[in-house]
Amino acid sequence: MLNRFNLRKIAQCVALSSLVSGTAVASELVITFDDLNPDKKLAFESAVEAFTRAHPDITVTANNGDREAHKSTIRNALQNDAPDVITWYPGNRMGPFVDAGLFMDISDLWSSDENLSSNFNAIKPTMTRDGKQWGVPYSYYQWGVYYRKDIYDKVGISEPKTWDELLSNCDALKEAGVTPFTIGTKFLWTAAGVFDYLNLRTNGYEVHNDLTAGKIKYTDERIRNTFAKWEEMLDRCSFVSTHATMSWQDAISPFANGDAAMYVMGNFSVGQYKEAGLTDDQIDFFQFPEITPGLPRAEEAPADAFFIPAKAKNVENAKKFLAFVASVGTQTAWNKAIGQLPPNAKALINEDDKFIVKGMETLSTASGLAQFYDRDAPAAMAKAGMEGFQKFMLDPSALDEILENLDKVQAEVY
Amino acid sequence: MENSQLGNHYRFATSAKQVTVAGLILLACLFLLYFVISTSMVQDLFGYSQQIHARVPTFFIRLAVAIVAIGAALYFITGFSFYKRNKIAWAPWLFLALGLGLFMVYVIIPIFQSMSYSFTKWDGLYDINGVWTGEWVGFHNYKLLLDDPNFYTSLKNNLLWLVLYMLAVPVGLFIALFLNQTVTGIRIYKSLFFFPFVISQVVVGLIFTWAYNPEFGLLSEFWSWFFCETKENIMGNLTRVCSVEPPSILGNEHSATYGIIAAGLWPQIAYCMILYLTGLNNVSPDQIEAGQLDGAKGWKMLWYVVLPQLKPATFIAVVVTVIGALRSFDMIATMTQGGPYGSTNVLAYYMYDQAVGEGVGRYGYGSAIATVLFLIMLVYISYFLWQMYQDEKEAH
Amino acid sequence: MFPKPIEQRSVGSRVAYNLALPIALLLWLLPLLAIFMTSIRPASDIATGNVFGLPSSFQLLQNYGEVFAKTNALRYLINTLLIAVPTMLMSVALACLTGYALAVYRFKMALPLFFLFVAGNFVPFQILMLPVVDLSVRMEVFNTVPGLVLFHAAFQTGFCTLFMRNFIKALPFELIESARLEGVSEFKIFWYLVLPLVKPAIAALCVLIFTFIWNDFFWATVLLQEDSSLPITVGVRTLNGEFVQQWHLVSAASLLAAVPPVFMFFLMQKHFIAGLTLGATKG
Repeated sequence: MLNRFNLRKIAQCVALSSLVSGTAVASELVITFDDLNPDKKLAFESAVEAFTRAHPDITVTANNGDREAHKSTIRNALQNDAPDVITWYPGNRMGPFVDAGLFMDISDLWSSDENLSSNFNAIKPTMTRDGKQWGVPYSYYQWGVYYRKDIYDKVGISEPKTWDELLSNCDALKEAGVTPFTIGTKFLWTAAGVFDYLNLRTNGYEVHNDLTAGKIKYTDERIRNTFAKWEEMLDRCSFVSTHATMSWQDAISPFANGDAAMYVMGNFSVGQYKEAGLTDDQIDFFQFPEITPGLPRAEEAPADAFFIPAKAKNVENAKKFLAFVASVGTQTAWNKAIGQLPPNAKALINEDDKFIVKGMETLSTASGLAQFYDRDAPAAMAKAGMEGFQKFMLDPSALDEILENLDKVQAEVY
Repeated sequence: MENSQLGNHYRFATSAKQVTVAGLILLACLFLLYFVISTSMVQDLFGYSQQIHARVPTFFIRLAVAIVAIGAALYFITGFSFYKRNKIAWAPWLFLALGLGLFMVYVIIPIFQSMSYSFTKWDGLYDINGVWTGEWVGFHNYKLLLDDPNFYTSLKNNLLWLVLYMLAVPVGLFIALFLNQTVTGIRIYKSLFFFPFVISQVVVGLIFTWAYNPEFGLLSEFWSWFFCETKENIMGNLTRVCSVEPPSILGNEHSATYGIIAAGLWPQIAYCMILYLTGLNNVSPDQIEAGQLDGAKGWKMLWYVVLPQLKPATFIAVVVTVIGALRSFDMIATMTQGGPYGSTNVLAYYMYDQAVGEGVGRYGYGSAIATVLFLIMLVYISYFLWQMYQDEKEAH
Repeated sequence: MFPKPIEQRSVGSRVAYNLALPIALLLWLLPLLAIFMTSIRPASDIATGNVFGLPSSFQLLQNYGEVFAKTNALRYLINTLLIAVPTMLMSVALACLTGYALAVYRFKMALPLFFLFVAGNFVPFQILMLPVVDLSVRMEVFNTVPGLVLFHAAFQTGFCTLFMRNFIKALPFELIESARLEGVSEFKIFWYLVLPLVKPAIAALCVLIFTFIWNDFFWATVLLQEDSSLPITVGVRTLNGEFVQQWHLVSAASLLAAVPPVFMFFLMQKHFIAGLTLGATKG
């Protein structure tokens, strides 16, 4: 392995020295990816392999790293160690990098590539900033409530459609000695999922969007209503008591053991439930129930995307890769492998996976799609907000203090 | 007489050849370092696919050139007549040059740079042309600090650390007194008691995170002996039901900081213990005997005879404990990341979190926090230097 | 000697002391013992809450093997060595020079410069963090092991200078004086006269700096980003996130990270303690 590597380098040196020095190597492509979870990693690697097969003249170097670490390392990568293609999040989260001119404008690709210009209309707005497109999404997924169907059957309750039904389900579960919800808030963001849904169901997409865009204060009466619902939920649908010391993966164990019955989560978690020993018959999915009657139903649907750093060296190859990622074939295969949804409207979904089928149905009938609190709000706001959510979950009486502090941060950040 | 003066004159003359050759080499090296060698050059030369891979070779090429440059600079300076005449005055600067230069560049100058950052609003990004994207905002960040509850939490926790961490000093003394015997195997006991200090704080943090875990940690295990029983749940799986829930030490804002400090005390006590053991070794037996003649025993002996002699050890123990308390970062990063909801933040961790954590990127605000921490530390540093200065004066 | 030697006391208290010693030690090292026991348990023991009992099967080799097989632990350990050893050599070498300059020459700036080194040594890391990152980026050494080594060496020079200067100051100055009178050059005095005399200080510093750098976490998180160049302390932290609820593997990895400094400590105990307790006996 080492020998081959060195040989390649020597060959490159020889090839280079015969060229005029200073010319870039025409057939390189460097990609930085950010998911080490086995299934995600494999799907990425096989996509790269397929790309190399389609473009044998391009030598691809693929780097993969930890997702949480990537959130910090990308800053340096974009400024100093720019690869040709890099993963990041659309929506507001790409804002700082777009504004600093660190991402490349790829509007030309969106308009020239027939597939991109016709099959991505639903998601195009989230990839757009200042009227230009900056990236290409490879996957997205639904959020909702995952629950233990076997426990529901045993207790004799069914999927709730409304808030009251959810609350009475919780009563029944508690009666049977089951904690209604599991969650692990050590890394904060899981609590934001609950908040987003409560806010989307209480106030709707517009208000939620205005809040994360900094147009509405946290002390607004409408946001207070959301927290009132949350308090009701904490009261009657209690969460596992040790959630502040658990990660989202840790929180699966009471769920798998049958001590907790529901989990507000994203669809990426299904693989982990199965790894914990649960089967398709034991778990199922329902949309977060309606709170304010008649409100158009909006959903969380975070997307993951590829971007081209402004400092990329092999821009043409990078664009080829992005076009390849957007293609119907790639989107179908990739998302089948990771159990998520393809943003390409023409791509096929895995009809055998009930979560994917339900997710597709949930998202395609939604009136609006939110990206997730920590992507819709700027990072500094998101951090403070999520700390506030965690604090509220542990101590609802501190609400006023929390909201006032969030207003302060909001005034500073935007 | 005349001859020797002539000889001296010759000995102290500037040697033109030495100065020219060394000067030219020095110039050439500096030119190479500044204008020629760069990672992109090395990348092209060796055909690395990514710039990052060219970094390390570039560094070593630069290092080689820099070593030549340093050699040339030394040779350059020693060729001049002013050096030859005044060797004793110039020599210390030559010995100091490298170490002091590096220390200035990496430690002293950055302190002032950080302070200047604290007057800006900057997210740490340069734009594509390398232009700074921040703006000057005067004392804005400091005004924000005064209105930030997280800042006060961090400050309060820093104070808690300072106060409780001090327990390491008396407890360390107590253990040292306990171990200051000559029974067989006592040396092994001493080493084993010192053990926790040698282990990385990250590992200590992990050990205690596990110990505190309310589901399956050391403490919850003790707990379940008294309050819990194992039952079958609705799905027929075994689950633990407790009459009183086990405490979630790191999950509760009121106990989390104490939990981390307790973990931090473990290695710190070991450190103080070893300081006192060494100090006790040097307590003069004469004075103890004199004390015994005066009828001093036990506590009185400790307080009036032994402790005064342990003053140097106590001084060092207090200094390292204060510095350790204010520097506490690794433990918090491994055990709670400042959570739950920022309640275990200390200034050191809060600064890191605001500046680079999760891409928050408030460089200006972070620098303001760092500056406050620095000023607090400066009080102790000044005190330490003052003590050292007194010692130096005495020595003269 | 204080307290009164136990041999001079009654038989009862001697027996009590000899009994108390191992019990106190056991309590003191209980967290460490427990984590060691966890590291040789199978996963099923942790799930069933077997914390204190004997492991249901001994899995020493399996668990530690798994850590090496499943993760970059070996790479992390090598990286730590690549960081710690050059740092140790550099900062001790530099401190020999600076310490000599500040101890032997009587010039006006000697004391202020010495205090500058001492003060810099106690500064909180956070005030250096952002400028050092910026500097490393500009020098094109950010995210590389040599970049981290360069910083560590510069920072540790502060502590090493404090140590060396005081050590050399305690040497008999007449030796140097007489060498000067005989016309020996300044560098030769340093090299042939002083260096051999400070060997014990060099040994003590080497052990200390090695341990400090081995256990460094903050600077490695700040200055290194790529997984392939991380040291073990940061690596273990990452593993903690990867091995969800697999405490037997986390504890095995943690203990691996702790072994080399512990080994170093037992090997060089005398020097280690001499280094740490510098000044604790003075005065």
